[in-house]
Amino acid sequence: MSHIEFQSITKTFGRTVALDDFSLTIESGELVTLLGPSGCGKTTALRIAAGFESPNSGALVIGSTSVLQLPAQKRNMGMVFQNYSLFPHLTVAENVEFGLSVRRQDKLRRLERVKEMLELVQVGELGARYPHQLSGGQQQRVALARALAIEPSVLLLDEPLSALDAQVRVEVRNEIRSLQKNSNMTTLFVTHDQEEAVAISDRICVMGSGRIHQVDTPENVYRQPTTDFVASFIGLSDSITVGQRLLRVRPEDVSLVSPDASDSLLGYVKRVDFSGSHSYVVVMLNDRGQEIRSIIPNSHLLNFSPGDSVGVKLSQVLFETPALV
Amino acid sequence: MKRRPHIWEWTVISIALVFFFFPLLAMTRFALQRVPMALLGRDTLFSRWTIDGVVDIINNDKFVSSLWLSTRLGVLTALVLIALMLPTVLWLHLRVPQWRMLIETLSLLPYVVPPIALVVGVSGAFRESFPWIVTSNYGLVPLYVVLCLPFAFRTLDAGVGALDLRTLVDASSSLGATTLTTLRKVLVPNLWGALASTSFLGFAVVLGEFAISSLLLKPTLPMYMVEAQGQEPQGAMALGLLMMMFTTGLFFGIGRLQKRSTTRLALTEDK
Repeated sequence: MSHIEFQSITKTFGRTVALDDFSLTIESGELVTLLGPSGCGKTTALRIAAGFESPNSGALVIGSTSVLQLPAQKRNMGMVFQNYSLFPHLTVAENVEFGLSVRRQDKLRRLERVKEMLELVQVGELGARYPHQLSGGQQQRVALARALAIEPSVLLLDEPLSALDAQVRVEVRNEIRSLQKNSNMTTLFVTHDQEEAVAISDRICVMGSGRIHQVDTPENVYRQPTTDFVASFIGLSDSITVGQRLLRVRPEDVSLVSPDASDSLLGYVKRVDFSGSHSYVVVMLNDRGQEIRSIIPNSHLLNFSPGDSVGVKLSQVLFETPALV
Repeated sequence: MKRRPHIWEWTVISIALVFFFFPLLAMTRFALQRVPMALLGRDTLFSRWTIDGVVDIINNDKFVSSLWLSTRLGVLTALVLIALMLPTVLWLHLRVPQWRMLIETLSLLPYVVPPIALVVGVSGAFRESFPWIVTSNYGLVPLYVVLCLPFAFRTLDAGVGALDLRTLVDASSSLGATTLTTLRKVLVPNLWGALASTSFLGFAVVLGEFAISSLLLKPTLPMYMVEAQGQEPQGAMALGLLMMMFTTGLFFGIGRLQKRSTTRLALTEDK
């Protein structure tokens, strides 16, 4: 397995800057997620790695080779796409075999490899079916088998789960992660779904408007964001002004206390939003006209109803900036 | 829920059917009954049916040679049409989708240029440099290709539009396939329906085209049919009927082919 290195890559489409001095190193065997809102440049970065786009400037190194001059078909990258990309006229087995027959591998070896790959992604019995006879989850599994069959040096995943139902999504996500760990495959994963990114990644690269905001482990990105953009994009948070400062706070760091408790911000319960095992108590802070949420287990919820006066205490502030007056 | 069609809907459909089939029935009787035209009426409905006229016309040497020429021209036209238009449409969809409207409009030009203008223009322009366009029978092929552009573009454009072209091409090249391999192993098999329609339509146009071949005096099948009408009107009519049945059969065949490939695509993408 090889590591992959983006070196100061810049890419523009007309006047739009899709990637601005993008530098990122993915270690061998690591799974790094590019996470950001749509239009942040994450897919462009992936497509540059795959060879489908060429950057205006910068370099891309895989292993020890600079690959920007190589066409996509020579880069040996396994790629899984967001849209179902299986060839509709080929059976599942023929789809997986495609990359091997293009490489003119021996037929017997090809068939063995196809069988092995289909079993790896747990669709061993579906080899003779056509893509339209498969469910979405099965199609993406086959797409993964097809990408892995060619023994790629890097695996590129372009929002492979976003077309799937919630339940299947988690299932396939866990499978991708365990396959990746077992094979120690260097992987670049693109998603706009932060929950997915947090669950699957060794490191997350948070992007906005073509630039990297933070590259760190999921825990650190969640707990110690380095910009307000990261703080607001990952997880739930509210921002309130206290004095001359703008504070960003997570609902789990907000506790509700009696209104006469010392050092608390005063407010009243605006509404309670039910969310399964927990509820969000939305508090309107007096004087400021700002809302803040506190997450409370439903077993403790009886104490709060809309209109109640409450005190708000912040146990931790996620990110702090000077307030614009 | 199914709704019973209104009486006026039935009326419209019936009028349309009569308008369409009545001439065909008349044509059939004229072609296959050895009864003078003035006597073709209710009383003679069952008398003297024969296929002698057809047999005569088919046994004619000129028929065989003109059919063979038209077939060759049809096949060549279809091949050139596809070799020219498939890469164009793919390139248009992948690289310059913003030009699609322009090319679509341009592809309509053959409809507004009358055959006489096309022939005079082409023979005037190429008589010196490419005299074979005027002298050789195969000189008809480029003209027929131009004639077929409007529907060839539309058929291929619709076929390509139904594919997730970008993803298929990207997937194929990420798996190591060259552009040519992608075209041969991924795109052509998935565009089979559209390619078949385009070639059959091209073939059918050539089989029926009269104006251009008459202006350039080429002995194609339609030319022979017009000529034969003078000597053996019944046989010529019968031949016309046969050709109509042949092309209708072809179109039903294509329809089925296309339906099969589009359901497969639709099912894959709906998941």
